[in-house]
Amino acid sequence: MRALSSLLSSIGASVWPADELLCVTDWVVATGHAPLDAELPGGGWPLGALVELLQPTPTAAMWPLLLPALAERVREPMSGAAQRSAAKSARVVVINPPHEPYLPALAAGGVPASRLLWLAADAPPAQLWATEQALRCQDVTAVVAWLPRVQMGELRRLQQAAAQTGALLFVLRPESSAAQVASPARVRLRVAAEVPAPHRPRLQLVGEGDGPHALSEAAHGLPALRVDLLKRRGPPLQRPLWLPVCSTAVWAVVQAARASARASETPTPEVRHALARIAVAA
Amino acid sequence: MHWLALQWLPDAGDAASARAPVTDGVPSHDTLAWWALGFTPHVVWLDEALLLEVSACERLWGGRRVLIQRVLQSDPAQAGVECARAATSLVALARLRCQPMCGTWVLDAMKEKTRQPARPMRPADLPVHTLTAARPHLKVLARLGCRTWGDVAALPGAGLARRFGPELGRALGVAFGYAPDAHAWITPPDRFEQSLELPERADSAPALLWSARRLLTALQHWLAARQRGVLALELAWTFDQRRLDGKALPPEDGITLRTAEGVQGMAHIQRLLAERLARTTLLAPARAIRLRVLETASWNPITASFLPEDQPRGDPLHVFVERVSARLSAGHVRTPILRADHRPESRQSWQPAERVLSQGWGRDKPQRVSITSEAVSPSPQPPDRVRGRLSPQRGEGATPLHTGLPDALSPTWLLREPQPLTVDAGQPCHQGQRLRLIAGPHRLETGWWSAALPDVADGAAAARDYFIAQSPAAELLWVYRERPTTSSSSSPSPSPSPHVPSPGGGRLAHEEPARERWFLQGLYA
Repeated sequence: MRALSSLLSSIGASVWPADELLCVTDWVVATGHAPLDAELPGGGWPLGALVELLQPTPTAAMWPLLLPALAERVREPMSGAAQRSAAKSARVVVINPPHEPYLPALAAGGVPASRLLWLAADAPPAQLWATEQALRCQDVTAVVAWLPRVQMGELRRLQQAAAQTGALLFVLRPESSAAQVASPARVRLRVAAEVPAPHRPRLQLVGEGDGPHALSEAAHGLPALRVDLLKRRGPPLQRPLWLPVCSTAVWAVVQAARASARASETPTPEVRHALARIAVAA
Repeated sequence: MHWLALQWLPDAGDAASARAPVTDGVPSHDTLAWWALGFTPHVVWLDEALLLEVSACERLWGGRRVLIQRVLQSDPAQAGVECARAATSLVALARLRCQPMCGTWVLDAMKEKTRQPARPMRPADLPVHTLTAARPHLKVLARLGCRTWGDVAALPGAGLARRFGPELGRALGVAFGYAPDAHAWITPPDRFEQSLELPERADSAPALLWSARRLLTALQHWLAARQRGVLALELAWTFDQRRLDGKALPPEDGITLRTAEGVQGMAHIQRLLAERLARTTLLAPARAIRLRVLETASWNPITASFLPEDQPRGDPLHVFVERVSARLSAGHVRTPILRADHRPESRQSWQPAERVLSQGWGRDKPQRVSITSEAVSPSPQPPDRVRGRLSPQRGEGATPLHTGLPDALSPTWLLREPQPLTVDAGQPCHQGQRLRLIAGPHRLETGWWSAALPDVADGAAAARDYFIAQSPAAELLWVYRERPTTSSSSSPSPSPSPHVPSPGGGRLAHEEPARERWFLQGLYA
């Protein structure tokens, strides 16, 4: 046993013990959420690999989770003449979204409107084909695709396409059909907005981070984004991560409104009136 | 001076490509000449052979041997080509004509270069019949005992000119290098237009693609010779019949292809053409096709780099957008336009990404040349007197315009048609469950001019109070309540079905004089 441990220490980082997080330093982009970064190998979303998100409904919350990384990919200053010009024209491609993305909110999140391409395709083969074409484009640095009826082999094909250009690829699938099926994704998450149950120790896990989104007493009854890491290169994560369900500004308004409502404890019409002042102030 | 004489043998082409029809054998003279212009600017057709003067460009290609090898290997006919070389054009041509006897290279069908064993013949030893100028006088020269060029050149010059005319003596002077070897070099025409008779009638549009490929090859050589990239081209086909089913047919029909940046490689154009042809139906069987270039731009090849990280991985953006637009239809590949408006549904709209590409999209615009006068460039909308103030802002510099509500507070999904919500006891309900209003109202009143200016206003008047609401399913929603306004007594709504089916509507009617209507317009998701 001592021989094994000495061997491991001599080999160093070239061996990955499967009960630890894989230590990769390149080819990731930070998620923008510290608790999630800490649990992902390399400290961020892997580039050139498939990241699969399972949603209860197609419209379930996901933009707050993805926006910081997308913004990073759009503004990323890269080295090399060709890549610098590519960064100037970096695009985020959204394929088959359930609704129309509202640009002011995305721009506030760091993805300017001019960098967004919306591909609408109805038939599953066309969606797949469009996703693959987007991944093969050198100027597309991130792809967010809703592929409700994608198959295992097709996902593998997408992963290979992403590996060629090193794009950030998110595939969003319905949880009902995909949760029990194996997937070639490098990272697999389940994302859903939930109201966390009060007075549970897991709230404190995120609450110990002192960011603006730390769940506090005032946030009870307000939704949060529950992220279950189903698959990663490392040991499975049993506990869920609680992340902000909306942008910082919205969260501030919602929390402030909540606090004042709690303070006044007045019937509905006056609550509305009190909130109006807070919204204007925010 | 160093001359290459190239000749394509039609029978060699047939033998080499037994599976391909004869029409795919040797390209037209124009195509071959444009191809040769890729090697040297001095190209001329002399009788049956294409002559290239290469002395000035040998160094560029890395020496004479390498150049000849490249010429033979990039042969557009993909068939047997014979090559001879000499110091003057006429000697090169003559050596080509008696190639079994003298030293030439022959590229056989297996793409293997074989060198004929014999040494090249001296010019004075070349037979008389290989000189074009001597061909009318072959019998007389034979009776004079002249079998070679040397014999003819040895005749007295004055008598030669008197007996055979001045051409023979002049040709010999050129051949031996005593007179200048002047030619009218081939230049590619300003406009590209080539037609091709189809080998057989084409009943469907995709069947045209195979023949169109031949024209595209010619186009590629033309573009390379002119240092241009194609921006727009037109493929037209003429019909076999004048009338079909009692209806008169137009003489020809066609499609126009556009690309955002000038390209020389035909792979992208060919894919676009395939996509377009796959969605085109022919009115009647086609007999011939014609390819015409409408617009070109100066060609800027990608700067080469030895560093591996500088190598582009994947297609350029315009190739991607055009390819996907061709398959999914242009309206399905969208880029946003931002407008200065307070109504969320009017703040953004979407347009085909292809149109933005052709207008530059934040890149340096290459200098464009429209070759035909009727080539229409996609022009932006004509400036309107009133709309000028509301004009869309696009491009890299377009920043979201400040419209009161901080952008960070807006939802990430927008419902293009606001969804009417049922109302229960004054509270809006979503999916049968009451919503909890968390923050708001944010009051909006705009679009009042739409009644007065129905032709410029692109939306209805809006008087709304926006709230952030929370549903029992833990969703954050962006809802609004319509307020009755002073300007419009019957408050119009962007919803197609303004009547809200509300179970408690009758009860509400006596509580509030104007019934409140609630709509869901966005999701914080």
